[in-house]
Amino acid sequence: MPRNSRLISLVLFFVAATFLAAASSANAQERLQVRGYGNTHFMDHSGAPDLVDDPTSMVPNVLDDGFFQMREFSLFFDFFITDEIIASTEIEAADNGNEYTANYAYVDIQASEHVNVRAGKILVPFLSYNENKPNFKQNLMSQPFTAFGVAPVIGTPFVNHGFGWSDAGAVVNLCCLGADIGFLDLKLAVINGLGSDSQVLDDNVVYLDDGTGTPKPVRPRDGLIQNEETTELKDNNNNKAIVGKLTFKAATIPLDMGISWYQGKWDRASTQDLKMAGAHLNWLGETWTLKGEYVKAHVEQSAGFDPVGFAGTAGLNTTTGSYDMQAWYVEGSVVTVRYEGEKYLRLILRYDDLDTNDKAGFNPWDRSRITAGTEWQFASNTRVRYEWQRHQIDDFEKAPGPYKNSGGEETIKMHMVSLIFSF
Amino acid sequence: MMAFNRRTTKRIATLLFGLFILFGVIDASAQAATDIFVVYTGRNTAEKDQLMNALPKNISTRAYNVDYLAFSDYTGLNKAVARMNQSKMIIIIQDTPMLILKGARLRTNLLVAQSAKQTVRSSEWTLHVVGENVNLGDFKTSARRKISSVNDLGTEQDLRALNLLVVNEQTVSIQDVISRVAGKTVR
Repeated sequence: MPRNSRLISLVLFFVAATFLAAASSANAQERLQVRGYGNTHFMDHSGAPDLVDDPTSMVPNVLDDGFFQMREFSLFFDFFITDEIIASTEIEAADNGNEYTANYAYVDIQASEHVNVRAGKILVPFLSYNENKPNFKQNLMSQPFTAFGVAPVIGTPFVNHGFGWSDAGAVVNLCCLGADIGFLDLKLAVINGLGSDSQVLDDNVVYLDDGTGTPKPVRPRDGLIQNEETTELKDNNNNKAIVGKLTFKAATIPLDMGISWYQGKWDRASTQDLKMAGAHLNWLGETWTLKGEYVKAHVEQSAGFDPVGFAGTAGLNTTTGSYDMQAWYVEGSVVTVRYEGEKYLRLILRYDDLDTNDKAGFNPWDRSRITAGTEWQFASNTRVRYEWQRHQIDDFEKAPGPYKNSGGEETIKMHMVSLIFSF
Repeated sequence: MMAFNRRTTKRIATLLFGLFILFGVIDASAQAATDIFVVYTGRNTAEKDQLMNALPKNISTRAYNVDYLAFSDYTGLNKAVARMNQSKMIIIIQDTPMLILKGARLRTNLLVAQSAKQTVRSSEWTLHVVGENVNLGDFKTSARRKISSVNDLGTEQDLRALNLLVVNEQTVSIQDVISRVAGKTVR
């Protein structure tokens, strides 16, 4: 190597190092923002079936036993690389602090006033709930069925790996086109997509403890589908999923509404399609709020047998062919008392319904639910929330023995008290 | 002594040169930060336009419509506030943005135009500039002044001692007052 080249390399190295040091120290404090939120709660069910974690160890996991849970503790980090380029991540301690997940980790590039590009592990822009799921943005702790039974925002208890539907990919956001009446916003994302390496899409498994000593495996309908494959952010095929969301925000009233769609192949051979489409509406006034979502999914499947039935099936959710699912919810709230500025008392009511469409047999996720709650913000950004739920399971007369023997009832009730904070 | 072969050295030199350019660009971008963020909603577009036209031309300005937060995910508010905090002054127009940004932690100069809501404050300095027709309710401050002319504003030090300016709009416009205040306090 010529001496001049070495000298130039050395000089360039020191110049670059100087810039790097300056960028990382002088302005770092001003350019890094840390915020966060958390919640802890006590919840108590009745009428839910008994489960075991692992059929070999028979360690019970019984929802009907009331328990405390540190559900979420999240820190948001936003670092301004420039005024237009932000690196962001959310680190969430879930499951009593035993799991740490980066809900998202991406770089945001504001290319122009109306165009933003985001790449990395992104929140999937599908419907409204997933992009607004933290409890301090919501009036109830529990997720609506649109985000639980269809869109994979949260999985079945004991199977899920953190909260929120995120995936590796990129999203282009054309924002805020419009004027007098309102504004339009379009998000178009390309992500790895939902997937499964087995012959059925919903291949998560929970085990019913029906008292026989041989737990019965069941595939829960817990969103399509937040399993290990998606958690590890790998793609199981060459097909990338396309997600789109078009939203309208009225200019003079607190109303926004939109439509969302998702399409991608979920199997390794890239032959089976998963499609989801939905709509959302939010009225977020100071005193009254009204929220709603509707989503329908079509899953192509052509498996010949139920891959989890090998160990003795419970006769639940054994569908191996194509099917449709749909869910919807509507939720209203009103602030009845407001005092000392930020303090208030809110009443909340929600109704949601999940229709699994496989009517021939019994499916315990085919149900409706009513939730009533109250929320008291007693200090700045700190709230106590109580909610009561009543699930009504459809076609319970078709429920097989293992489900009933494990304690599953036609109605499931739940009480939950939560402490919520954000900072 | 030759640590690397020629090809590796060329690659390292190219990489370092790239870093040099990158950090130079980033640093230049950082230097070109916005002086004033004007925060408004769709229904205050006319007021925003009047204010933007009135602000001194030697100050770089940028407008942000908080209605856009309806499209962002739950991190949108944090990012918007953080971006505003990079500026030297934030001007919020009327009540609605004050409610949407409620609880936001601002750490740069804050001017609030035509609103007596104290839902957003800055750790640096907060000044409400309102017309006489604005209901002050239980506005909490002892540092207030009434003015009928921009000549009544006094020095930058005088202004920074205030939290409320009540403007006689018969004799001077709110936009002119804010423009003059920005001119005295933003450098």
